[in-house]
Amino acid sequence: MRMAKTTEVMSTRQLAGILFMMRTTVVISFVPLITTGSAAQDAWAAGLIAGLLLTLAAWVVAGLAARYPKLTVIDYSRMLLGRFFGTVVSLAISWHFLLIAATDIRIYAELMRVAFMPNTPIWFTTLAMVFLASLAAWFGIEPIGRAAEAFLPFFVAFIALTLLGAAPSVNVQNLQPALARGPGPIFSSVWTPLSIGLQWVSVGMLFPQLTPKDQRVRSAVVAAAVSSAVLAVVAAVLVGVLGASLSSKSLFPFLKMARSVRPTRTIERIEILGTVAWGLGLFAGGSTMVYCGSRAMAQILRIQESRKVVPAFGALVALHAMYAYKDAFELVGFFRPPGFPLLIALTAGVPYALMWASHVARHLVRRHFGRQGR
Amino acid sequence: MATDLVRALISRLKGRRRHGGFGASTDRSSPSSGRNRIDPELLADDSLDVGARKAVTDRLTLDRRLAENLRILALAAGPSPDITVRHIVTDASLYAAVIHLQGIVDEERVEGVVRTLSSAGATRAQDLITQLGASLLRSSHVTTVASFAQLWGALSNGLAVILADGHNQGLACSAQSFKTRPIEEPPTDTTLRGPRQGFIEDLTTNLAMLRQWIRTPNLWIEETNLGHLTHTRLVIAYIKGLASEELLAEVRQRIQRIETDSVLGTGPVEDFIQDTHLSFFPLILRTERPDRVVGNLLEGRVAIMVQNSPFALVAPTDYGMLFQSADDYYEPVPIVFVISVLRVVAFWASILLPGAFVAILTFHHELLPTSLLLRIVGDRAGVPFPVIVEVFLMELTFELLREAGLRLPRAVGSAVTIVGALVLGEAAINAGLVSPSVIIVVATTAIASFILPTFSFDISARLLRFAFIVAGGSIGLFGVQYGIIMVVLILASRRSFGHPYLSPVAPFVRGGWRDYLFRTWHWAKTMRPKLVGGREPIRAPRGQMPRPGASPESEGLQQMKPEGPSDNTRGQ
Repeated sequence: MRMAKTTEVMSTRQLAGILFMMRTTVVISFVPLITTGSAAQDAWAAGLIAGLLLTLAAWVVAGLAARYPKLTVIDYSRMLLGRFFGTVVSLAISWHFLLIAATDIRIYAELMRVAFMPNTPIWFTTLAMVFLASLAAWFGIEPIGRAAEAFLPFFVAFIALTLLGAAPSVNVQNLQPALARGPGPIFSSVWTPLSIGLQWVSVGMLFPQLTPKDQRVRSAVVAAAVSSAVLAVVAAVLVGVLGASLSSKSLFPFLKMARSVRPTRTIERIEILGTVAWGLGLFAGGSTMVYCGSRAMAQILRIQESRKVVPAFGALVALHAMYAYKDAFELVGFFRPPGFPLLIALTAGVPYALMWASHVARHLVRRHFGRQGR
Repeated sequence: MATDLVRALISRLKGRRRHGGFGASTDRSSPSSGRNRIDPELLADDSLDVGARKAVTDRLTLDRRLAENLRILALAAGPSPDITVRHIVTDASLYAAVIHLQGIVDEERVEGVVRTLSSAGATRAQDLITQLGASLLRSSHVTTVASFAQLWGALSNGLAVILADGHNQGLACSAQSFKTRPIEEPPTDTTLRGPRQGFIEDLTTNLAMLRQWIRTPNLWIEETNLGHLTHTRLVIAYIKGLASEELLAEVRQRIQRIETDSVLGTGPVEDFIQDTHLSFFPLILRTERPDRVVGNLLEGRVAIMVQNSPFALVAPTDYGMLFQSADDYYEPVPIVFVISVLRVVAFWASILLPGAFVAILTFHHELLPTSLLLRIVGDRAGVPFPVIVEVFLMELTFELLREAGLRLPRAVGSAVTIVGALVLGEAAINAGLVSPSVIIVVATTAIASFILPTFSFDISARLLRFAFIVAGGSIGLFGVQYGIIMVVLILASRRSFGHPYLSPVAPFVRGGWRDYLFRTWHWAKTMRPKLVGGREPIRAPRGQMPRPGASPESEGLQQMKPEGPSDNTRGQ
């Protein structure tokens, strides 16, 4: 078996920061658009439930990684599922990294076009961000982690300031009547935000490099819980400001909310804060995904130095980001249930279920034969 | 024939290690016992290049005959007028000579050596040298020389060398008197309340200053010579037991790796030893202030100093150190805190302000309050250039003025800068070439950049500013943000001697914040920075925060009360 070889390390705090920024960035781009399919004013509840499930999913991913602390998911997928199925799962996981990086970048490019630069072609913004993510991946996970750690306070501050700026405009009546239509619509809105938690697969790639070792699982789980709480708050404020109807029809509801408020006479616009936060979050998430994808591909292709794969992987990300979606509406459509949740369930949920089953089976067999041996 | 011999010799020497390493500099040139004597006449061959001449002179040993030794000196050093040879016949009729280089010795001390030598009574040359070294010479530093390399090393260090006819060893005694400038306040790092003391070009004086600040014997100083032509003295200073041995090994290794003909100051050394050659930001701190060096040594860092340079290098360096000024440690903490915040804001403003201004005016008008936008647009009416050209030209003009001010004599320089800025700015506005808002932005940027205490850091900001103007002018705030991410990513990828450049921010180090961007009170600095001073983390005991006594009347005032008449008498 080819084990992951790298001397780089990153702290669990940095990983938690990256995961938090990554999820918050994507989720607040479209929330509650992609959650209010039927949840309407209860989008915040859908966010909370999705958060609970994501926390469980984070534990599933990190818990399995903790059983093989010196291996990446590419290594132990082959070990647990056999060479063929393991390679198939490894390829699926690599594709996940590609998908997340490309989709995140495309979302940001669309956002920039809608918000600030209507005349700048999508390909320019896309290529620029892919280059940045690839450069960061080429530098390695240590600089990515450090840069993300440096950006995290600004990211949080900018999101918080946007929410605070919008808070006076919240109309509580927009959130009422709460839970009036029962749990059905809420549960049906949970799957997309949960599926976006696919980002946690990166924990399986980065686990061997994390330090301190005793906090690795906890950091992944805490990041899931905190980012889900933020999602619920954002959804509540958004619906409170825009109302359920408008927020479910806007392409970028968070941006629309930021634009619709005017905190003071001097400070007329605050959308720049959220946009900057988006950029920072996209950098953290995109570069981590390109790094993980490059390492995964390097392992699959038995290339010793994952840096050599970064340009090729970056090119794939750029192509996917530019050509996979025709426009922002198609991008939103991609996330809509049941397509996206089913896709993720098949390509990530099933492999992880199989890997866990295999792990448990191996464990039981070992215990059984161990007892016989004794 | 001679050339062949030298070539063979050089090829043998190439196999040897060039540097003897720290502390081995004096041994480097000592002749090994197994070497064959080389004919000094080889040096008369004008076709020898400098490498070949060095190979020959490094292997020359002193002869028993005085005349032969003087001939070696003449062949090796040529007709140099500053080499002074005083021939002496001692009272016991022995022939001897005192040799020194003019201008770097104290003539009176040399005369004293001559007097002592001429009155010496030894009848054999070997006894003469032994007696002089043991007791006769009243000199603080006496050493034996046996090779030409040692002899020349002593002469160039300001020592007087005694050679006697009939013995193949000489005696070098201290007589130095280097001409140095007085110790003054460094022009690049001034202070209001701190000591008016800066390093000078003389390394010995600089080391003496360090010794005055840190009196522990644990202040260790290791010396080596760099540059096979300049033989520049280089020292690393550190506190033994405080600086980590890994760091010291890394510093030594990087310095020993240097192979060059010349080291002219700390700049070349920095080039050789820093972690990467492609860095916009200084990865090693340069300072002229002994107190800054001392402060860093006390935190577990290492200082590197070079002969003929008033700058010391301090490693490892982090981003926060570049914002610190010497005055920070002499002013009250609340004031320093505010000023430090101002510095950080000023640094980023000096990089981002023109770029953001161009971006907003070109692409994102809606981000400005309406009244402000109307005012700016009104002022710009009639200006023939786009904002990016306007700002770029003004920034360029300002940089030209600044460079001109630096290169011109000090008295003229400041006048040129001020007059140039005022006249050009006024004229440009009157001519309608630039708008007042652009002048305000450029001037604010310039003032912000002056706040930075580290000059090398300021240069980085100046250059980056232009990149941000282009980014902001071409793709708006997206470009500015892109640039910020790029800069932070590059900063995050940098290390200074293995020490992450952005620590303790990223990676976050809990124990590293007490004296980072913002300094804390001296009594609160109980711990050293974790990454450099982790070997001896505790600096001072906790609980030294100043506080009044529990009962001022019973404690403080009682202590202040003068000895004198009792309470009974006071009432009288």
